[in-house]
Amino acid sequence: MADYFIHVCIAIFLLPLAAFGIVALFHNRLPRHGDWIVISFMGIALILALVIFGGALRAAAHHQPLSQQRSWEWLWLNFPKSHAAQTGAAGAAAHAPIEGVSPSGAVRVGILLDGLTAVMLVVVTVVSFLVFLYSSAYLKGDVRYGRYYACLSLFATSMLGLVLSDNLLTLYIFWELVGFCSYLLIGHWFERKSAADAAIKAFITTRIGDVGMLIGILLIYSNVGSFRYEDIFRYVHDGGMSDSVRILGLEGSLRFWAAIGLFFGAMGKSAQFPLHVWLPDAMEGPTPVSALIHAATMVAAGVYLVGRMHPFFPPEALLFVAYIGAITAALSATIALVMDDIKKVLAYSTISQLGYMMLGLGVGGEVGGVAAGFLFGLFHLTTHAFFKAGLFLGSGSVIHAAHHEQSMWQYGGLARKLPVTFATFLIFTLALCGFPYLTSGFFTKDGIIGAALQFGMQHPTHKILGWTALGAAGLTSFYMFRLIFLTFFGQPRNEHLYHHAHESPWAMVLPLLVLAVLSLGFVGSNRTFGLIHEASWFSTLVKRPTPGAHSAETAPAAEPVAAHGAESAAAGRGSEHGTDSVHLLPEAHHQALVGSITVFLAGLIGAALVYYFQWIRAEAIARLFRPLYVLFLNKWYMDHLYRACVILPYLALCYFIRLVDTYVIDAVVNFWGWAGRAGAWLVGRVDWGVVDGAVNGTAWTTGFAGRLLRFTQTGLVRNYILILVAGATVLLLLFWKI
Amino acid sequence: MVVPDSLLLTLITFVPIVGLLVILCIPARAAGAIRWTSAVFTGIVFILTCLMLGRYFALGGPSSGGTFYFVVKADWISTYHIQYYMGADGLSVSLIFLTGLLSFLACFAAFGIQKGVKGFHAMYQLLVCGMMGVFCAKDLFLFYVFWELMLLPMYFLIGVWGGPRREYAAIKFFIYTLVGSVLMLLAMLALYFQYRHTGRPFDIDFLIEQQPFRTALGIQQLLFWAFFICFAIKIPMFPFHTWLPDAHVEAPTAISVILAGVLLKMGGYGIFRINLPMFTDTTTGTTLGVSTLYIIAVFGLINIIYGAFCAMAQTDFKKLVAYSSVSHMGYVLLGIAAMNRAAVNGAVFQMFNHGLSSAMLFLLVGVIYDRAHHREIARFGGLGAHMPRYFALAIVGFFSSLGLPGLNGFISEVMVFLGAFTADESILPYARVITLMASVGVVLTAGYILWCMQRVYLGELKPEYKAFPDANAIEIFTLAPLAVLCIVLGIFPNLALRVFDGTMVALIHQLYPVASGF
Repeated sequence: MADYFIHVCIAIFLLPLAAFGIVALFHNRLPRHGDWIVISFMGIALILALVIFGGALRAAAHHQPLSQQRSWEWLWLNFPKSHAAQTGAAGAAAHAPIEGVSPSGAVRVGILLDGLTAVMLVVVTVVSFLVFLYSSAYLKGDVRYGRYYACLSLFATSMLGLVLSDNLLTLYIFWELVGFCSYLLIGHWFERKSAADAAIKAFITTRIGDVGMLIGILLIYSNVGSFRYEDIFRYVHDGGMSDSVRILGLEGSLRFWAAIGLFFGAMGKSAQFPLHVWLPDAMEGPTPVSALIHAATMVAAGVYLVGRMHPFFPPEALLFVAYIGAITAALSATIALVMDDIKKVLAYSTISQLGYMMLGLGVGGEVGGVAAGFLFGLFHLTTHAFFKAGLFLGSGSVIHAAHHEQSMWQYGGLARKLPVTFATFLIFTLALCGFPYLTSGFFTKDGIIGAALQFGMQHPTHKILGWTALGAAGLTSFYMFRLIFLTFFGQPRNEHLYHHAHESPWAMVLPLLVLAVLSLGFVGSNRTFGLIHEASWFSTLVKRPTPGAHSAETAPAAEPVAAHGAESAAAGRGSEHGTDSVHLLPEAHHQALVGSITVFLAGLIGAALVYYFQWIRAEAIARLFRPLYVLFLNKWYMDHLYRACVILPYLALCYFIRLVDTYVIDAVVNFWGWAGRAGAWLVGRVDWGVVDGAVNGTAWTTGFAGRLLRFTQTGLVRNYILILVAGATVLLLLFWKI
Repeated sequence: MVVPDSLLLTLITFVPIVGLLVILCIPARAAGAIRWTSAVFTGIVFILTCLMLGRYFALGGPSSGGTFYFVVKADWISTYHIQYYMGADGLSVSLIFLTGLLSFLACFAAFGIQKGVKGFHAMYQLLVCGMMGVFCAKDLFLFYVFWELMLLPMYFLIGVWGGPRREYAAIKFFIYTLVGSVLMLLAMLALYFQYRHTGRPFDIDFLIEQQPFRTALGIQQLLFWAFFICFAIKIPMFPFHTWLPDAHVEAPTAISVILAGVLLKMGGYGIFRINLPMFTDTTTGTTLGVSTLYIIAVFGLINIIYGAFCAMAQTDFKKLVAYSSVSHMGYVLLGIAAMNRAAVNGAVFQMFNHGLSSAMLFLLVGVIYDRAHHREIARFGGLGAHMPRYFALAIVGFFSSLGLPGLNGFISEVMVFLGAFTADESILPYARVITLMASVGVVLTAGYILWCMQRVYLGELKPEYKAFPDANAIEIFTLAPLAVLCIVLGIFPNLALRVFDGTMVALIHQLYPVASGF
């Protein structure tokens, strides 16, 4: 396995980026708005990803797991060592060289290529390529066709960047970028208010989670001094971040809080309760977008994050993950039971399946957990990506045929009109419900349920996790077959719509066929690709990183390293091939097998009784369980709750602060302005009345006196003589007296 | 090099004065000639700033660490020991470049102005001269002269060419700034009488060396806060921010661009240039028993959160953008307060980025104001589909402001967060708590920006806007370079960071000589 894999990875990343650049700038001048550029570039990326995947499989077969790394200096930040140096237990770790930071203080970012990355690359490129192809028919003649393809390409770039990142910083960057693309694509038909609302809701809800993630990253960086997974794992392996911190009355280690912070980001992105509310609304986007972003890839990013950072998560945090996953899986399955919109049903089913993955990862802890849970959690991500993308594309085919009518009550009997869509849809549904052995979903979902059950056996207080998972599986089977019966079977409920329905063009059917093949049992089975029989191909590729052992291979040259060290470290946990034991305890495996087949059949039969044979009327059940029905129909009132408790108070606060700004702070300013003017006016009055008054008064007095005296100045000599004589007389009289 | 290094800053500062004189010679009725003359002269200034940037790199500026280049020094008013002393380090260079770019682009945004074209552009040239001078001056008195010089044209540009409440806004702006200037003047007088006998009372280098009133910390604190309030008004820091919404809203588009893009940066620049290095004891110490940096950080936090809340509640498009400036400049204060390499670089980068993104936002608002003649957010709708080219640029501008990764705003925000979060508790008390609270701003920002975009650009197109043409060539010419810079600096932030990193590291070293971590 040569170093060139890294270059191949760079090529895979740059191909859609180039396509984005070209189409974004020139789509108006290119024939067909340049969709062929996006599709063909993605096709090349897909081939390259398969090359890497093959290389990874070969490497795994030779017991030399793929693990390559290459990084570059990117951002100048400094790292004050004080915090790390203070954490006593981690003192040693703090002095160890940190690979993620250059001597110059620059943060290094780069590519990490290991088994998990290889799998994710294939998942992303396969689904992307098929969806791109499908879109060319589905969105034919759309007003913003070129923009749509540019966004898709940017999304693929970001998603590939996300899985290729070797550090939390670039992961966070691409994490936000996929959210941004999701925002643009949900709002693709932004003339519709509902679409614009859904876009903003998706962005804000996930961003709330991202604040937690940012805080988690800040906590990690401020302690470790690096963003790189490897440095982080090594740091916590050596006992770092174990200081106890009390937040909101809860005591937990720094590591715990950082993990919870990261998981908040994952909850937002992977639509986990209670941040799941955005995903159903996101169905306002074009259906291929729902398939690619809101079912197969982006929403799985949260699961990927938890899987990638799994060694960092302490057991308490993983328990939290498991419970959130279980709650999500069950809660959204109940809502899916009563939805009428075909895409909404699938959306809630996606949330539910993401919950399963989280549950699997949650119970898959290194200490006291079930190792298989970790593997099957990520494995389910992989298999789910294919059949859920297929379900959405299939529903798109139905919607396309039905002239964009999405209510299942308008469908009926469409199997005859859309035979290929129906056949593939059935395969996807069986995979989702876990039809034994023939479908991929069976193996992975069964694995998660088994892991959860075994976890319950090891920790009897948490038995409920396994039973919840099993129960939700039954609900899954029920609502999916409800969808099948309502859509494809029975009599057409809307004759006009039925009459005009027709099978979709090849560009839409072909992806369905490919995905149907990828949903078959061989993908999830443990006998595929002629590999080690005890473990499936997935478990030979994907391994939980073992932090302590990696120190030998952190040479900056990023030599391809055989992880024999990892194996020797893992040997302590008693596994031959360096993998965590993927075997479940026989009783757990047995319980899961029997249980999941039972609930699958129960759900199928239940749905058939109600919606196919119609022996039981749906209305009757709804009436019987009225409070529950209303609760489910209103989505557990989550949206109402958010509106009443978050959005409205927030807006009220905004307007209140605006009032404060205008009528308090600005009023103070204006008061001083007014006071200045009032003072000036007063001074003006004083100036006019007193100071100027004195001056004017003097002038006026003089003038008045002058005016009075003017009368004496007659110009007649006799008058003057008279005055003279009178004056002299007066003077004489005065002196006489003396 | 065609231009000698020592002449470069003088040219950058005084070429606009030549422009002013030329414009005054053109008859007022030749409006087109006046506009293009103005554009040519700001263009020359911009080219000179590019030259300066190139020379800065050629001279090894990035690795020099706080050295001043392009120094020119001559006696000016020797009786009072006032010098004509200019020079530029990494901080100045980046802001001079920003000023050159924005004044050039904003000049085109002013092409639509029909009233008193001659007066407008004459004032505009004077304004450019003042702004450049502030960033170049190394003599405190010279600094003050340019600081005041810039005030005068700004007053008229708002008061004559502004919107309906222009007189109120202009006077408010003027008086606010003047109050600050008076404080600065008083502080300068104190420095003058203290150092008159040395013969260099206004020389910033000398004052930094002297650390005025080291032995009388009470007086030093007084001087520190006198300067600080003067700069805080410009930033604008809560509670001195209320001039900004009014001035922004009433000013014509080009002037809003300059206000947000350049004038606000003068506040941050002043703190970096004068407060921090000149009064290190106060900076690293306490005021009234409270850590000075802590006070600054708390005000930064208030700015971030308070500005975001206010922005959310605005109904006027331009006012919303104005309050977003308040929020964004809070990151600068927070970065200054954290006082480590990541945070301080983040703060300077945030100033630069805010210069780009807020300039874009005001230009974007200007484009639709020119067409609709109102700015009420609620009355818009659906413009995105109708004006696709404009909408594409708007997405870059708004998301840069929102801090989307891949665009420049994200880098500076994250650097401030990282720096503030890792700040030494002995330097900035409660650094982590403050940072955690500030990180809520990330969601609030997304809230008001997306909601605003939704109401203006998304949804059904209102019939009264059917006739709006898409952005024209001039509008694209003003917006596109900024958009490109936003993207390029988002992916290659080091292009900008290396300009001022050395300067900032030197500053931190000066403040905390023993602090390690470099």
